[in-house]
Amino acid sequence: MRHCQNQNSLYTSNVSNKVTFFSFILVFYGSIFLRVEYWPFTDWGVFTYAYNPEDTAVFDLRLLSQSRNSREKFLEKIGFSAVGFNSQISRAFYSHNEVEIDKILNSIRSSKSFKSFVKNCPCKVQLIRKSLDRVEKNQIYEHKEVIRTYDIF
Amino acid sequence: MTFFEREIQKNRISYFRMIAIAFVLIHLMLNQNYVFTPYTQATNPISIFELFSIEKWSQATNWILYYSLIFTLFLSFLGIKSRVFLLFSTVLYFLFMGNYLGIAKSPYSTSVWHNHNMVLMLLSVMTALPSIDNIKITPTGLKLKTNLSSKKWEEVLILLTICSAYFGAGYCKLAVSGLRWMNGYTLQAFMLKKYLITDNHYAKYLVIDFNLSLVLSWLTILLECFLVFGLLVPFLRWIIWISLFVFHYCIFLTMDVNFLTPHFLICSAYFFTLVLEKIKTFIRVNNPA
Repeated sequence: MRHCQNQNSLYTSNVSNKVTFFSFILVFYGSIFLRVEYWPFTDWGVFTYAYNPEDTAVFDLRLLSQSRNSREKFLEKIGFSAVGFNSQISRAFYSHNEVEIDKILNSIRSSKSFKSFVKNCPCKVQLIRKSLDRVEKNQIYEHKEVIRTYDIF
Repeated sequence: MTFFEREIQKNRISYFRMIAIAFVLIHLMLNQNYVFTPYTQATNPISIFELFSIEKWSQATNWILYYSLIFTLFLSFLGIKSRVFLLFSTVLYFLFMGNYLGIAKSPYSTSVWHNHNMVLMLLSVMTALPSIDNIKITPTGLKLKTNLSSKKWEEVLILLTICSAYFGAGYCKLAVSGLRWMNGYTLQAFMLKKYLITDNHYAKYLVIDFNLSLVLSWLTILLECFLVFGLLVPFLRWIIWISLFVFHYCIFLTMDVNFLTPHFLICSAYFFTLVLEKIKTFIRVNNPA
């Protein structure tokens, strides 16, 4: 009787282990094939698209001033993420949302850190679009296109 | 003996539990920004929170969740009703990190950044493993709670869970872009974008050297889709683990994206478990008394 009970318990335990194993495999790998992208499953969409360097462009803010050297990549100096800025402007630019572009740029221009950075210093702020011009002699040459210019007095 | 009956080193799964939870605890305690950042930046609720109309709770509630998570993880680490407290930890981590990841979510997509998923996946797997609770930590040292031996299927499940993250990334690259992802130009484009935004010197090398970009593209797909399953093969797993570390470190250098913590850290808990076993065996052999 005890032997039968032990056999039953072993059988139940084996079945339960198999169910556990295959359930987790089904959920984790099934979510991959079904492209389930929201938490708690992972973001499969990141870095999946094929691109070409010739079609790649990013957005940056450039500061032009007579009293200072012209400066790009000054977003981090005023406490803004260049990656985040590029992401927001790219989305607005490629969806032709001029209002959104203005909103993003106005929020930076009206920030305390920006005002403190350009204090008493007449300058221009330009939204520029940078892309690849050419690669020559181990140097990358950038092509810059001015999208917007703001005068700061 | 069937696969589900085959045994491995007796307490391997319990040691894995202790090391993995220790890593998660250290990571959480060193990153208290997870608690207050959702209240200093714009957030977009993750999809499942929106589905159940879960609104962002107060920062005070977030602190309670945080300390509850630390507490349940600590009890699991000690081996006090590990499976029960691992279950609580899984739910708490799901809620707590789901709240935080709202800061990284765009209002235009359903997806969120995927550095923290492995922690949740491994916590949920550990909840279901029978031999996870074999050992507890007492003031006098480690104490055996049960006679259950760690089984091969438990180890394989942990390793297949780790593999799923890499396989998923590789599979989706091929599913979306096909072999074009591996043409060298795609990796060049990612690196060019990074260089143009941040002047990253390592990314610059990949833009300049197309052949390097091509080789690394192929290696990335081979590692993610196929080689990662070498973790299941004892004589290959250390090579694959080192390759994964190099892979993540290169991503960190070129893309400024950190998958080393917490993702790779908790994956590495398995390897630290193997090291611990080797140390214990060495000590036992050299000090038979």
